[in-house]
Amino acid sequence: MAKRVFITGATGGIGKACARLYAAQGASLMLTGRDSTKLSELKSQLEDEFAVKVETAILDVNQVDDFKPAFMQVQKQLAGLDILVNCAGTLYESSLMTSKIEDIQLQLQQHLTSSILLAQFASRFMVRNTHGGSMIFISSVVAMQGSAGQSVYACAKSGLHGLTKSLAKELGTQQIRVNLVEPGFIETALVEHYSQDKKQQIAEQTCLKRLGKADDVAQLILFLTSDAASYITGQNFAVDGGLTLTNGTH
Amino acid sequence: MAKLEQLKTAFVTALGIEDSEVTDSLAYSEHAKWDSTAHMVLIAEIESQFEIMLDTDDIIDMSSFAKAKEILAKYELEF
Repeated sequence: MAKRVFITGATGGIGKACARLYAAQGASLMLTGRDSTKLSELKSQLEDEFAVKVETAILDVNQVDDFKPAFMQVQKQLAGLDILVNCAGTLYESSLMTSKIEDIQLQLQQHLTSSILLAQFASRFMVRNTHGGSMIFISSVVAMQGSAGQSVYACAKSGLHGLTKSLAKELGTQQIRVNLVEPGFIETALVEHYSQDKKQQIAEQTCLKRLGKADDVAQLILFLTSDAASYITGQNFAVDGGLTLTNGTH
Repeated sequence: MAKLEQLKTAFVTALGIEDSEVTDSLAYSEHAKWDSTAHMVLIAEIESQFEIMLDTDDIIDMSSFAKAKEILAKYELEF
């Protein structure tokens, strides 16, 4: 039976790369995001290329009221759920002194509260499966490494470590696995405002002397949610070309 | 009546208890088998049986079989 996969931020860099890999595997997809036009375009592309079932739903993870309708679509369209991949999120960069309370709360909602809500809804479907399910949250290498000017973002992302490990313990008896992926510097829209010089500088700091691609992250996510990883839960994995190794944090 | 039996079956299946134990007085934390994990399984079973999605407040409030019937009435399910 085809795996049923729910992806947030599906039209973003890592989300889209995941959607393509799952579609190539023949999975049934529920793609969610804020932009209905982009979602429709992605749905058409994937259905044309891979002949798979692709459904879409509007889900802005900043909007608490969007969650339930999106998961009601899962019930109607997919009749269950095996995999949750939470890719939604923005990179907030501001110094401590210039971080506004509205932006701080938004980052916590976007990365942390939303992940808790997603886990609440997704687990209710996964519990019904005899084989359980798999959840992936996306953190960042800055969560453990820290980054000047990204304290709020790093704070929100680091909270996902506690969430992942706690949910792995709480949901493990139901065969629901929960893992965390920590991308390094991945070339997506999130970081397109970085100058070429800055990008080159970061690339030089990695062991592999290059920046990451969305597909580098998606391949790990695909593995972690596959049956091949059925004994892996409560773990965090960096996909960073060795960036944190050279910075001495891992 | 059929829905009441369906709800009872959901409790029996989710909590792993006897049919005769499903009475209005059956309550969360008072029956040894209705713990936090079983509550999650019960919610999933009820949602699956009746094809509904409960609000979080209702999941928290569903503390007995009698309360479950009361809550599900809000979802246009009569018992």
